[in-house]
Amino acid sequence: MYNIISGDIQYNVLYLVSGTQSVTYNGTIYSEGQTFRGIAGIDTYMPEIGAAVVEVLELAGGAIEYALNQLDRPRFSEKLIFRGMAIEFGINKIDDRDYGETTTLTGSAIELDTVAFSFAITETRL
Amino acid sequence: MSATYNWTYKAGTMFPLRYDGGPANDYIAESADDVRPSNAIYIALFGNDTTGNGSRQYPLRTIAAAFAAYPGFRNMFIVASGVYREAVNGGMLLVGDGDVVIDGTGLNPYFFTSTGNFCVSYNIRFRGFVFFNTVDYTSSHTNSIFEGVSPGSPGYGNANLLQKSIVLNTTVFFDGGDSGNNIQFNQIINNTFSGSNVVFQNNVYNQQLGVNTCIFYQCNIYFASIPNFIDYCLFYQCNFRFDTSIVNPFPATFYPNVPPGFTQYANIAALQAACNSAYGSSLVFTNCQMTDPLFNNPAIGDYSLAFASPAKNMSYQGTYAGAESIAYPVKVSATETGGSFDFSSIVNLSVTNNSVTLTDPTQNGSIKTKLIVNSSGRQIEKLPIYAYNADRNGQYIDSIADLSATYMNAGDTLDTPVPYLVENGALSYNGNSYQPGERLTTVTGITTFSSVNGGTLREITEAPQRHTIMARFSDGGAIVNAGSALIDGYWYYISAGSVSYNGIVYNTGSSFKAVNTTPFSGTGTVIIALGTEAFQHYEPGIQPTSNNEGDSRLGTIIRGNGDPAYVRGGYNIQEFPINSRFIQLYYIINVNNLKP
Repeated sequence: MYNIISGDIQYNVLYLVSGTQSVTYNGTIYSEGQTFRGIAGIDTYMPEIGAAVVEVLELAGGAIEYALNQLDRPRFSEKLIFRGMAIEFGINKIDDRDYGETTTLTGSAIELDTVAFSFAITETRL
Repeated sequence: MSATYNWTYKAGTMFPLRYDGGPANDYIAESADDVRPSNAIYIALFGNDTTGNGSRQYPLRTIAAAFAAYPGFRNMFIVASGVYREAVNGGMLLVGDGDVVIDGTGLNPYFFTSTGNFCVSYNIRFRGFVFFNTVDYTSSHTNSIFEGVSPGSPGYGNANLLQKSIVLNTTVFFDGGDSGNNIQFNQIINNTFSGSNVVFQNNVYNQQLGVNTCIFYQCNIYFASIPNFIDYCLFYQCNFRFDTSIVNPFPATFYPNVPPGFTQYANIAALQAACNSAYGSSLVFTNCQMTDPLFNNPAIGDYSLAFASPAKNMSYQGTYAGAESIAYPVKVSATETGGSFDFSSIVNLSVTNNSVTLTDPTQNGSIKTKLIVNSSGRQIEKLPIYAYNADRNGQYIDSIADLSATYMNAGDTLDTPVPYLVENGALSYNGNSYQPGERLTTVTGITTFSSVNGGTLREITEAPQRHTIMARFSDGGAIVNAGSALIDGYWYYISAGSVSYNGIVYNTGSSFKAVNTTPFSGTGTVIIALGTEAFQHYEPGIQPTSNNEGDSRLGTIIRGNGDPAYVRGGYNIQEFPINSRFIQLYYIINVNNLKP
């Protein structure tokens, strides 16, 4: 709790009037125990004798910011995790094969809060 | 030696960026804690311009003194948390180690390039500054905040590289280069502009003035010239002007007002048509949107993105547009159900919307959040807090240093080198006199002090301004069956179905704190989310990590990077990002902060 002298009022900071008298800030009179918030460009107040202004310690809010985690997957089990894929082909020497045939396999997925991804695999049998 | 400030950037760690603002490629030179590294200078509010030497243990007090003493090219100035009320007149490389505010209000400060000096910042909040680039040296700003002292105030900037930064209540200029003799890639990437005049001017040299993945929120955007491209940007409630002549002064009013000469457009197509009419078709607003970015809480300075934000997947350089990533907002509400906090945890606090203050201003207060549930694929990037505080910096609400319980009296033998706090009266040490509230660091060979007026010393066992926020993490525990006794104070999470507890029905994905041992009823699957995990200290503004040798993701107690015993990085010390499933935060408002 610091006493704030006139001229040091900061924008958006909350202040408490202490002492037995009032202060005038931005045209409004604030009595002991009342608070006011600093306004941009107005850093002075007028105290009556015996009045003081102290800053108020204030928590306005917080957040948890997330980064997308591409390389380091968490271990807890949850749906919608796309862990990987593979396509294995077995060659059947008995079956006829159509050489030059092109097969395209495409797909995509989108996960809530995660980037969308898509894949396309094109294979041409030689 | 006892802990001093728990520097993020210490010997052997990589600078956050290159000397010219590019990607980091160099390390802070090895040095003992009381010796300044050859390529860095440390500055802290607990430093001293006379007795300090720019080392981690003996930092300087002011940026101006540091710059005067070490103006050398490529020196990095590493600044500890706090508010620095000074004018920084010159160009230098400033790195914020924690939450740093440089407040030049009323001091006419200029931060500019000069011959031999780049003008580079990283993780600094500048208030009331003027920035510009006078010669052919880079002006580059990353993860910084530029704040005018009033809407459209004359603090303005001009950067070659501006990325992941927030521009508030000010006027900012961007141009495409200087004399045309030197190629300058002027890039504006992943920034958030709010309540500001954004002026594009003098792109006559056509030197790659580009704007990517930025959010413009209630801005006046003045095209006196056009940049080469604007891609993946989001505009919301902006006024636009296409006029080759710069008209001063710039407006001090923003949306919903429309200043003279400006126009609001309903969509990107209308904006594109106006731009084509003024400047031809060379500028295309590629992949841009005109919609609400859904900031979490801009009223308190929280420009992080809600999960449903349309800026989230505007992908070019990253996966979102704007300066801040997606975030879970920890909202303050006068009602428990409307906010993020567990009202049963409140100690000495009064809660209104967007404001938590001490009920008894002479006593400490604290509050905990409810259980916060993470989903897969996300790790925590940072834990910012939002508050305003005149003499520190608007972010640190719990910056008290840990003090030893032992009082040292005149004549007692002091350890060296150790930081001490002066209390109860003035004293004299090593030829200097100190008043209560001041601090000193003992030096080798001088192990006693004399008291002038009953002064005593207490060792500062942990650095100031590092106890800012506490958090605990878990990936969840055992399944609890209906009918089993609960444990009072534990948090439970419903992973499937629904259950009834204490007269309230909880569905899948919700959670509750046990207030007694009475079992829940119902058929849902319930697991213990948080039990006895201890709260650890963390720092806002940098990524919280763990150096636990075990496995940080299984709920094992981890040492956070606000912990004084935490050893950051280094050989054989692996840091883990935190991506636990369950999170709880704990805020403490401490009235007995040491005045910086």
